[in-house]
Amino acid sequence: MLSISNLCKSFGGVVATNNVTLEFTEGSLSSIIGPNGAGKTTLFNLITGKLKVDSGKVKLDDEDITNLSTRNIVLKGISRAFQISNIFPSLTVKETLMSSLMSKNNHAEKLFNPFHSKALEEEADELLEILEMKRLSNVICSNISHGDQKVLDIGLALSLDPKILMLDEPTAGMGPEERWKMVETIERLWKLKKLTLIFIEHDMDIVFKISQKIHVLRYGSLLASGSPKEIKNNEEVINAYLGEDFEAI
Amino acid sequence: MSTFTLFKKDISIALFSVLFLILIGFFVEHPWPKDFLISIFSFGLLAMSLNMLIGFAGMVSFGHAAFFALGGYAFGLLLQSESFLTNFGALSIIVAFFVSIFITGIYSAVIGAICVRLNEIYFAFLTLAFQMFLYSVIVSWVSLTGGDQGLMGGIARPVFLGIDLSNSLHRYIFCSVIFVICILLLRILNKSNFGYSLRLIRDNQERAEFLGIRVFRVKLICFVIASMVASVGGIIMTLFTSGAYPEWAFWTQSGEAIFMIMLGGISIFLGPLVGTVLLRLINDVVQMYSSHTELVTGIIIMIVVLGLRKGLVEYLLEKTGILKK
Ligand SMILES: Nc1ncnc2c1ncn2[C@@H]1O[C@H](COP(=O)(O)OP(=O)(O)O)[C@@H](O)[C@H]1O
Ligand SMILES: [Mg+2]
Repeated sequence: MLSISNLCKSFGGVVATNNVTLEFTEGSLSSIIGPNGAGKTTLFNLITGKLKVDSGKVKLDDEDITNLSTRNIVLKGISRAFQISNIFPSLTVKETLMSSLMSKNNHAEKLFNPFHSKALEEEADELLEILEMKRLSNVICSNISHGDQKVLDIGLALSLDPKILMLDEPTAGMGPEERWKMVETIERLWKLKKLTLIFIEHDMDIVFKISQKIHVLRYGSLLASGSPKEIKNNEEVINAYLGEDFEAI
Repeated sequence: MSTFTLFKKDISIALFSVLFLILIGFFVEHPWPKDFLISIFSFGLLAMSLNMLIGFAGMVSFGHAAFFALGGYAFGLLLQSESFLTNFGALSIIVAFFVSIFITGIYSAVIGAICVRLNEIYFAFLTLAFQMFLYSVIVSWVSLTGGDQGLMGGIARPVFLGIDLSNSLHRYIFCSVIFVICILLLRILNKSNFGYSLRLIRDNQERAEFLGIRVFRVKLICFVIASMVASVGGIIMTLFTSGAYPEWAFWTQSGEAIFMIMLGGISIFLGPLVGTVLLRLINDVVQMYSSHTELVTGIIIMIVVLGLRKGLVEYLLEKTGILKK
């Protein structure tokens, strides 16, 4: 279980995270929603060690992991994909996955081991299969579509064999059809790998359809937490974010 | 599978190259080709090792020649020292060779630990600053280094294992073998797991960190290895000229290495080596006709960089369709 308590972070005068306390139970699928600038990405950055917290704690199964380095947090089993897909422009799709698998296997600093080894290629092929990206194996990452880059970004996070997977707006910039395909992919991976999955999302249809739990942020503070049903009927959330005429499926 | 079987192709090419270079040594009478090739071995290692930083890892250093100079000076000074020569006798050359590389390794680890934390222009300028520091030490420590005159008086080259480095053929063959071994080493590093960690860092350092790569450590190892290979270039030059000169540590020497890389191309493994050959040729030819070598080479480089917008090797390979865009 991942839990954060009384987490705070400011940038100069901007309070991006304001005393946030949250829990993500093992194997759950939760979403974080809120208007732009609410502090969603900042929360991810604090959990994954990209930013240092001002105060508060991040705990993984009762172990304090606050302010560990990104690498150490990755080694604890938390990995993430990014709001703007964040990949390696000059490598092919397969090489990208092979590289991160190599890192997971703790072989990244082997000076004389050939990178193109059979074992690593097979491991990457398996992952390509899961991601349904086989057809793109040998394409340079910067030449694949935006949607595929997002999937690859998730694939990179997944290749590290995480317990907890954090996705920052996985469907951003996609058309409706592509979005639902992405949602399917996410749900499939969540079940297949028995992950604890946390994702940030703006599309309320998606959020209410697949989340077990929803956390609403506003101005850096937690406005509400609960099941989709609870959030749907929460007056404060309706007023502040969803709007009067919100009708979820 | 062992490293050997997987790098079989590269190792075979290396063996053939050594054979070919040795044949040149035996069958070409005129000294010019051998002398020219030795200068290519030396500056080629400087350019190729610099490209390990720039091309493999995306770390643009402006101070790489410092390690070339340090290797050359260390080697020269050891072989001028009476007590060193009496201690190691026939093994002097071999010991001096490894000790010089080792000294450069230590020095570059200290410099690297400070520099590789910085990115882009800050890294570039700090490496340049450390190079200028070494230059001023060389120039001002006259009693040890001979100051701006350079290390004069020649170096001892005691015969070992039947190899006599004062003999020009022996020297040439010795240098070819060392050169090819170093290039093979760079090749293997480029194709290894470590080489791909460097690519990750070059392409996207932040994401590499999120994949669990120890970015600082990997960059530092890369910096040290590249510096040690550069020092071998300096050692070859010291063997060749029987001295060492402060220009090697001047910033223009690093600039020249960057030119070599730009001429040949950053993304092709042997590009910088081709660049080295081109720049040395241009230099030699222009020197025959004019005293404005720098001006002419500058213009040629500008034409290549602005006209082709890539290295010559990259351009040719793309033109002929071998390399896809
Ligand atoms: N590295 C940073 N430096 C300064 N301000 C930042 C930084 N990261 C985020 N912020 C600010 O913190 C607030 C929350 O940003 P963010 O977490 O990106 O919001 P969200 O992801 O919910 O849209 C915004 O006002 C943003 O401008
Ligand atoms: Mg965001």
